Amino acid sequence: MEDELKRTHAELERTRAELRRARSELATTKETLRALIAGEIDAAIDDSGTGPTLLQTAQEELRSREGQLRAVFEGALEAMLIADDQGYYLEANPAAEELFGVPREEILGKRPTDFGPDMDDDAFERSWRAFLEEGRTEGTFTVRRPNGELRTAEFRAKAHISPGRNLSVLRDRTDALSMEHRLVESNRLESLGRLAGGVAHDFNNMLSVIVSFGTFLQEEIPKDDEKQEFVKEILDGAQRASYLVQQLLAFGRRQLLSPRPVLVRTLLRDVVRMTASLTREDVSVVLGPRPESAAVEVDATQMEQVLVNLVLNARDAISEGGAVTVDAELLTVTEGSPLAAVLALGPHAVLRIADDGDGMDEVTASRIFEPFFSTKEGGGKGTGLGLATAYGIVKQSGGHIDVESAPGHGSTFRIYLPLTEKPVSQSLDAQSVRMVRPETRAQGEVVLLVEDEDAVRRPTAHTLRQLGYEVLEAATPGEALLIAEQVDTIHLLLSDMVMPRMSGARLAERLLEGRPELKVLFISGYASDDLDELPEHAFLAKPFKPKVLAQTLRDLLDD
Amino acid sequence: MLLRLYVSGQAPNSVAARQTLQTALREGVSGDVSVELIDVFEDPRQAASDGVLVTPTLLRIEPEPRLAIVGNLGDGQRLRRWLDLTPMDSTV
Repeated sequence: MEDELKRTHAELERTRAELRRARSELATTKETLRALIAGEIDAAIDDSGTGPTLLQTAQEELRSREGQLRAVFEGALEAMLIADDQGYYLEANPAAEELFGVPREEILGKRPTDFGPDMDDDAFERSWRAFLEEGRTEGTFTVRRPNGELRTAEFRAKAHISPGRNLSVLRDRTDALSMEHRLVESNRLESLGRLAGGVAHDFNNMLSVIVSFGTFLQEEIPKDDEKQEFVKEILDGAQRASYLVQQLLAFGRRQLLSPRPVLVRTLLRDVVRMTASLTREDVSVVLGPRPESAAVEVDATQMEQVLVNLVLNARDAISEGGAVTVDAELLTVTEGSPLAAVLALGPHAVLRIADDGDGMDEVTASRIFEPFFSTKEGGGKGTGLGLATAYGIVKQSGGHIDVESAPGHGSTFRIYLPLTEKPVSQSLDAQSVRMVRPETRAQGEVVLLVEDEDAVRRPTAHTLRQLGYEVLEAATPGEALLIAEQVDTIHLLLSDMVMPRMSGARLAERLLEGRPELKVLFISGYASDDLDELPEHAFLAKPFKPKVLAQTLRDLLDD
Repeated sequence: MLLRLYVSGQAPNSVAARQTLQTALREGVSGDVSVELIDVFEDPRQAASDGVLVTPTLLRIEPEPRLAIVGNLGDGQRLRRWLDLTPMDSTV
């Protein structure tokens, strides 16, 4: 009886257990049905061995999501790259091809270190491990394209977007950074220019006082009085100061310019002619391609001075032989281009003076247009105002000047000038008839100007050009002889008397041997006793007024 | 508590179920919970031996009895109630 009862109890227990399992299975089945109806199922598992099967809707949805992601990836403006956990690229979108400058196939299988010049493998390993641990990172990445061009990109990266896959998104910021840089640079020079211009203006007024009263003194004191020497020193000093002030005024864009349309072609040709003979034997000045008919509206004399200055600087930057190339091309400044920060929109001529010399580091290049910044050693060699003047004149002409340089890779100066539609006047000297009577102007003559002191030669050349003369400048008698060897027609030699190595008189003698018709005018701060050797030549005392020079030249040439 | 979630790769309901479960666990449940994640494409046998027919399916392995939620776990409300249940005499 008791056994019977036990059996019945056990059976009851089994039944209850089965009931529980059945209820549980029923619940699971109900739950599965509910999920099926609600569309919450992805796959059905077949225990016959064929494995799980994705349901149709899940498959479609997966495909469509993949398609959407693919479209975002391919169409993104930003470079997107997916790398594995070792940093090797598995995927790259078209924007990445553009940033890296190579097709996708050449990106895949490589690592960031293959494209970044300033990253070594160890540093990369460390930062990559840190990135995988952190899960995300961001920063700046420099890309070197196969053509050597460097691009600066900002990036953000997210690790483990799926197992073994890490996403980086890069945005090319090179143009924006360069635009910001140019703006900052331009603003800095702008304020320096205002300061320099303001100081120079006041300074000039004080110099006028010194010069006026100095001249009065010179007239009052008897000619043979030894005090004349003191006054002369004062006036000479004032003249040198006045030249500095002129340059500062130019940098501060307060120079009096008389712009007229000139052909870029002609401008560059003249500059190369002027400088060809002034450069060293081991440095050649090469005139490269130039646009045929592009014209810019500038003060040709001033712009020539700027360009000559740049060519001579380029020459000085070459320590062991090389070439200075002068050429030009056209460029249109459009909205959003980095140059739009500093130039008006529209067509421009880009005048280039490139040397294959020693180049500059970034710090030097960034300060090169500052007044009194000079890389030339020794006090006498440069005033540190040449490029500041160039900057001022170019800016005042509505243009822009910049420099690209790297140590060991030479420097390229670029002058951007807006093109003009105005017709180019055939007459070369229609421009600067300032204060000069028409009859004292040049009639197509060529003057060889020899003067060792830049501070005297430049203003004199300037005056001569304003008068319409074609001027060949030489800083030493040696240069003058070289120029004379290469130029057929020289009407007049305008030379300093006292120069190192060869006197003006000796130079004139040498030149007259080959060109008996050459007219000679000496300029000197010294007494006229030196002229005894060649008494037939005219003489002009320094400093002289432009008007006096103009008249003396005409008298000689018309004789 | 030991849970086992069956999913099929990156299929949408499976991804949703994973995320809902993760969120619920992060927001806290009473007691220790460990979860085994099983992708049926990688391990179909395990699914068969657990009697799982479709994905996603969430199984409660311990404590007994086994319970299951099938589907993408919705907004998580039901899941949270389920996780907080007293286990013995409940159905889902």
